[in-house]
Amino acid sequence: MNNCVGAANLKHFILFLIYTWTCAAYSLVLFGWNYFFCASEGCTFHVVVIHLVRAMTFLCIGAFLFTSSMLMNVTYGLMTGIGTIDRLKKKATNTMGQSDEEPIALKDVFGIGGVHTWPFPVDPLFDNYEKIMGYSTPQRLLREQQFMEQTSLNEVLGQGQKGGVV
Amino acid sequence: MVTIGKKDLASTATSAGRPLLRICIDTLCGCSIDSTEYLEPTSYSRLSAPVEYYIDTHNDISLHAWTFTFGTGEDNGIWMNSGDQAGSIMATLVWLLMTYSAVTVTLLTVTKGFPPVLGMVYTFLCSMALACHAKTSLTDPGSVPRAAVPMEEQRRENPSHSMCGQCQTFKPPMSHHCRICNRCVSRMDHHCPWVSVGRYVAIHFSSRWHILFLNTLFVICYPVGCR
Repeated sequence: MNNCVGAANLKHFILFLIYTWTCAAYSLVLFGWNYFFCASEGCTFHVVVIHLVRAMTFLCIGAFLFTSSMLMNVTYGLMTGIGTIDRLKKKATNTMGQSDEEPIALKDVFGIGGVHTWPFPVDPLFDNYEKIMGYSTPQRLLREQQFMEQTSLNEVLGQGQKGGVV
Repeated sequence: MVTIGKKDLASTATSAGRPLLRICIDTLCGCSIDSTEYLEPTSYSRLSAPVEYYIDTHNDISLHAWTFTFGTGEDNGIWMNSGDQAGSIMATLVWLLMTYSAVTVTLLTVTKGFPPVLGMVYTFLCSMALACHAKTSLTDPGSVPRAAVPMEEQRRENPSHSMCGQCQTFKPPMSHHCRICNRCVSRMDHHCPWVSVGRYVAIHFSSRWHILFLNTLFVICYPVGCR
């Protein structure tokens, strides 16, 4: 992955884990079904491909185990609000009981763009960006103020035009 | 204007000299693209549209679509870790192994080992996983800018705020400084490649069971292409 996993890309990370997990589980089920339950002639693989399949089975077992453990980590993080680093730190210093984190709501991870945007790696749209990021900037406050002023100005202008017509 | 930081950046870029790529484009098309017309867009359609929530267009690269920088700094347009070699190798390995598995399944369907529909489903899942991988690697995980200040709520609740020693910025609660990205990251979970493994080994060193199980699992499975 070669990147930090933080508030803004946790969605993509979870999606990646889920897709990789599904990939591994899917191919394991396919291979397993073929190996154990299919005895007919049509089920034997091609001679060359069978070696590739063997190597891939090992890869899939590894990937399945690893993504399962990572998914459990992430789920724990979502349910308790304690990230992986925080959890390990708290465990090491025995301060797990003093944590006051709250569970992370799914809309704070996947955004408020609707459920149909959840399975795709598009940037989530947060209802309160500042609260999720935990900070604000003077520029952001200024831009927000300008935006509010502009919209209120537009409303006033729109009302004025309406009044003129009437 | 609305995009303060970008405008400053753009004006400094033009005063320092034209970007190489734009010079190339100019010579290729035989015309000169006047940069000022891109600096003063007539309207911000996304901002002036009546929306219920606030859309941040600060980091859009719409003004200079043909110039880009990458890195983890604040001035870089595209977020990307390129200094960490182990992580880059890991990321490439994921792509190679995923492609390998997709090719294997495709070969299986070609040689009539599976019905083609099953192969299609697998390659779809595979491509989605790779798309998510690329998106995760190239997305800013929520780095804290230099100009960060506490929110109103935080200021009311707490008179004192923590600072990051490395970034020299305000450090939001639940954020951590990442040594590889060299930035503070909001609600940081972990950094993906070898650093987290090092942490696991360091922190779980006292627990023999963890050494036996978790780290073995990590060492075996890490190159397998789960991240």
